[in-house]
Amino acid sequence: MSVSSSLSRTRVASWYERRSKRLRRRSPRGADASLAIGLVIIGAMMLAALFAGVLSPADPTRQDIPNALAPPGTDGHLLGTDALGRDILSRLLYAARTDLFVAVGAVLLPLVIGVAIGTIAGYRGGIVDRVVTGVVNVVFAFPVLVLLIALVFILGPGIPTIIVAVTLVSWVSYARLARDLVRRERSLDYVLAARVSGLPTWRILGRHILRNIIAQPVTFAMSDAVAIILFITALGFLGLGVPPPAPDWGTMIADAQPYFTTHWWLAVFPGLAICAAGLGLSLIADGLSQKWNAQ
Amino acid sequence: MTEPLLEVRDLAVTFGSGRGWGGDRGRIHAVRGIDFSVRPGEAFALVGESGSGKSTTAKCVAGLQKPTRGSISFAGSPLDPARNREQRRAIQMVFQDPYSSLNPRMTIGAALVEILRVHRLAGSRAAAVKRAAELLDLVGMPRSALDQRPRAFSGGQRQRLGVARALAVNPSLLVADEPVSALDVSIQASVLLLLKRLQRDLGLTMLFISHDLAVVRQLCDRVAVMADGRIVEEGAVGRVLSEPSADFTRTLLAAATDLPPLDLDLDLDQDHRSPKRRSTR
Repeated sequence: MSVSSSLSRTRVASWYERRSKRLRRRSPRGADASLAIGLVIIGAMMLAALFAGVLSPADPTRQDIPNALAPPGTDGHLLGTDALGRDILSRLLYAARTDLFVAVGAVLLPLVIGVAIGTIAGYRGGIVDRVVTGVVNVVFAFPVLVLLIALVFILGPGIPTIIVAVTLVSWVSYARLARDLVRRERSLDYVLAARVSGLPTWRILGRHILRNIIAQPVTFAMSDAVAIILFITALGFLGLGVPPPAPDWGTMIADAQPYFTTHWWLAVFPGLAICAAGLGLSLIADGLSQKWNAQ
Repeated sequence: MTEPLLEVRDLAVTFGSGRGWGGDRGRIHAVRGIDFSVRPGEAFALVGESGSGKSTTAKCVAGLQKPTRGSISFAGSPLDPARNREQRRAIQMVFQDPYSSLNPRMTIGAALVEILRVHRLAGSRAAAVKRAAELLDLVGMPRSALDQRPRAFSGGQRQRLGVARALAVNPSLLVADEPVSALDVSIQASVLLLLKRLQRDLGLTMLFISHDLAVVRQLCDRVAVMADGRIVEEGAVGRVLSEPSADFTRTLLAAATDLPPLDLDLDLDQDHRSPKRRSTR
């Protein structure tokens, strides 16, 4: 009894000590700053997307041809209207919903699938590893857009198609990364020790190896999210993206193409939104990697 | 003569398939058929230079490496590659590099409790924590180590923690693969002393891998000298070290330093130094 109570007291004390030590020393100040700014940007965008229904001054799909191409500041249209007279601010807010949702889905799925496959391949080695490595190399070599066009034919255009297509292509990056990390990790003594201790394989993988390698895939996922937002934008531009009239940033820019020189606000505001999302995610990725490297 | 606890017969390990270009040149014969046995309660040393196959032999015994040929028997029954939990539990290992042998992201307590729970050696979490604390007592580490991660400790301290982890499951055979060769000489003695005391107090049998005959002289009862995957000489430590019969043993002996015999009553707590000092060297 006395042993366990004194034990728990030292436990609490050392927890505080560790906490304060970590706050003082562990993370470089720059890491905290970029993480905080990134989280604020992305958090604000997510809130805006979530409350798009409340924040939007107008229905994002309602056309008002007489008021088309109104400049920013026009009564009732803070950021102006597009070629069909739709309110640009409302469309931006609703587009955030689409784009952030696709980005999150198209990052999480490949992250989970790729890390799982890569971890198993790296740990098991042998024939499993050779098969996975082979598949990864084939997918790496495959032209992404061709695959996507094929998928759009099969599944029809839309958000699920984009997520499936991105997942099919980008799990391989995570699989290769995780596989290489696990191969290095599995020969380290602490993994051998866990094997000698008789721990089950799933436990060694999940509680020991994964914990030590997960920082890199997660950091990579954050920067990958930036690339995916740009990719969705490119798809929208090519007409393979989110089908109209649902708004997304890429399609908005694509629709603005005839007016680039005469009506700047059509392309500039969605462009700024893409930049902000990219900057926010990059800052988070940067902050996370610095924080983890410091440990 | 007592029944051996560990009996190794004609053990051989070959790396590489030997197929493809180069034929047999692609193969590395790490161990070329060795026999030895370890009696219960004794400390048996396997010495040799790096590349002599002693670490590979240790890994085979610990179940980390599949032998290409030969058999390993433990307590009278053969160990096949897929060992059952009981056989895994009975043979534990202490590793060479104290800086990589503990999971950097787990607290010492979490690591010990996990092992105890997986082997159902503690009925409840609280019982497991209590047992983990006792293990720390056993290796002369403060109980506050339970809530700390490996980076808080020096090499010598980590090696004690590695010993505590190995002892968590009450093994009967402890395989120690160069447990002190990564440590400062001043700290080596305290870890050796710990191993010697544990062997005496717990009745542990020990398979001790080393390249250092001076260390072997301090700790072990019998010794087998390995060179190029074979055992070239075997016998009682006193006999082999005082009148070596193999040329190779003489070479090894010439390279060894003299250390005073271990004093079992020596104070163990002489290596509570800051881990930082290592990096300044």
